[in-house]
Amino acid sequence: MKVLPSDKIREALNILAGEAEVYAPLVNGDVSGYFKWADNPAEELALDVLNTYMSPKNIVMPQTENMYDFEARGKEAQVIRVTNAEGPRVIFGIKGCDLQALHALDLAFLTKGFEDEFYKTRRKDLAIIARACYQPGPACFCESMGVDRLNPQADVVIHDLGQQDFAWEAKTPKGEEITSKLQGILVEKDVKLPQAAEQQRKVDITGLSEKLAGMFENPVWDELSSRCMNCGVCTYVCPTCYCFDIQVSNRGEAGNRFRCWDSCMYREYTQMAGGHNPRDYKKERFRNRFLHKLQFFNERYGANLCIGCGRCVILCPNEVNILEVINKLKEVQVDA
Amino acid sequence: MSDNTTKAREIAKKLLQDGTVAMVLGWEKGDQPYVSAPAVVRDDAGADRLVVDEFCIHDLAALLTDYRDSSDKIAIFAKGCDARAIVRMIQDRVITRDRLYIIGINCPGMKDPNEYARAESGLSKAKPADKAAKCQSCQYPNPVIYDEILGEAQQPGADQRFAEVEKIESMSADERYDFFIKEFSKCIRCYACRNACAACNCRTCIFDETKPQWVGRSTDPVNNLLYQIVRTMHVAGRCIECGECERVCPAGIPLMLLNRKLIQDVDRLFGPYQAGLSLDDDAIPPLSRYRVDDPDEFM
Amino acid sequence: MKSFLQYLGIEPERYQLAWISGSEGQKFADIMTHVVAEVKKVGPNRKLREEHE
Repeated sequence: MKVLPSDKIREALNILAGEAEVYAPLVNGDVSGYFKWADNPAEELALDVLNTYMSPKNIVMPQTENMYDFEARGKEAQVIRVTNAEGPRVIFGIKGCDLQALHALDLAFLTKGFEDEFYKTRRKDLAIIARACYQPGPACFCESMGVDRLNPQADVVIHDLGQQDFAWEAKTPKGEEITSKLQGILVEKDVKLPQAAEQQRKVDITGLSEKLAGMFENPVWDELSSRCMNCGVCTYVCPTCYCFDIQVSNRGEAGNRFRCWDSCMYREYTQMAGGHNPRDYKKERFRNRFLHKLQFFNERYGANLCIGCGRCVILCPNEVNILEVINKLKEVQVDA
Repeated sequence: MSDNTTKAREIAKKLLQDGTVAMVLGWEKGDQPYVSAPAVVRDDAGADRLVVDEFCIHDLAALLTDYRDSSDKIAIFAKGCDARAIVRMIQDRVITRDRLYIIGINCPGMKDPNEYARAESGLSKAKPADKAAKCQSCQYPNPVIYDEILGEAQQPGADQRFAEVEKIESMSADERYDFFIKEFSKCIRCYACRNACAACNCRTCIFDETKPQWVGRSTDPVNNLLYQIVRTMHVAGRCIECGECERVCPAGIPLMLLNRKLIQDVDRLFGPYQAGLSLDDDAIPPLSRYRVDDPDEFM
Repeated sequence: MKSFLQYLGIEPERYQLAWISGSEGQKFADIMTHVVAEVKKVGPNRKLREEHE
């Protein structure tokens, strides 16, 4: 099988970066995420840790994304430049969980009769080099959410043989194309793929979505939401949270319209133009987030929105744990 | 089981049974040994889940804003920093003293559960510190306000609070600006700092306003820095130096560098003054009251 | 506030506070001239600018 040796990874990324925007797991100070590769010696590749704090959703849905620039004098306004994010992109090292998240985002942004232009531009020419995951972490429960972590569906699948030497398998014509670009670096070797360790955390969500349909007014939400402080960290590190806001920046006679991540945890998230706010209280916003993840998305798209990466569990400052929430919801007795 | 945990459970049960309070704010274990999650307890079964251990780092007083409009009496466990947060809440009129039964905890310093979570999950290779960053220079480990107290009185740590501030002040203006802009390029505007802060307790926060919108929502470093400038100025003089903002930040931004600078300034210009130490009338935050001898170099 | 901005690396000449009554026209003019001269001395500002690509 072909192998990408660990000391050639930077070179490989540079070759790919010559023709596309490359995103790889990188450490920037205290934060890790899938950032743009610029061969910065100060930036460390985060391939020897389980995953990154920030999910790769920023590649197809940047935190702040310019839409268009305009000029406005008096009552006349004119769009002078629309952002064009066309171009090939490559993501290196994405794991099965985050890849499943990408498919969930595809469902949200590209189906049901409307295609989001901005998302589509960034998504359509995205080549995926995925990492098979042999050593899940203690907070991982992706398999309970239907993720195939050992055989991710990608253009190329890589397997860590130890010390970040990666066995390399092209799976699609695009994958073959990438492989041929790197033929000077990949070596042929006999490899023994690693043993897959078992995932410790499991949760059974069969029937949960249907049960939740009748639990909107259930008092259990008061107890579940009591320790949440509505801060928004979960929504930002979650690979599938996709809510966004569209705002304008005015500078006198010119400005630009941009979109940015929004969070259902914020008080003004559902505030209407007239001032009415149907989710004024913490419990309502908390309930909305979990129902979206565990019920609404299943009903609308037939897929799970939580993909079991565990980031929210690890990073929540007040220890809200979606597994605890799921288990408590399952325990609640509902009259038929 | 620790002594404090046993006592905590007894106290909670007694207060609930004799009707002194309608609910108890404390901590209960999560599904990992390093998780002691904030919990609202209303009955014996809940009280039996309470714990007091070295992972109880969360400021429970920040949750009091959820109960500002009710008339329920609340028992709340409070470490040194949390007690100052309670003073903050009372002075800011979020809740009245008579609604609270405060169970103080003389605090030896806590560990940061998120550091453990990150290390154990494999997201980070950094080893968890023995004592959380926010506890390092704590000067008030013993609660300044309480109805009863757990644990032995503790000694304050070495006062290194302003060492980092002084390091920044020794840099040139350009170096300082570049340092802060670099830090704030990591900010994702999750507003965890604001939500965790005891002093950030306005019903409608300025950053929730849309008409007008005071600080742009795009996450470029300049807007991020501007957000923090406004927030720091709003809590100036009221910041109790609990360090929750820095602890909860998922991007690891050193927010206490900003808050401590203003604590120093307020102390120098209006002081001596430290927030959240007393409910006396003359301990009202200096920026919340006017005195004839306030500095007025701009006149 | 001024001290805070200085701590963040903003030149102190750029942010000045003065208390001027509506009837103190001369004082207003003097201070404005003074501030403009000070700011000109430190030159064009590159900090806290909303950069836009």
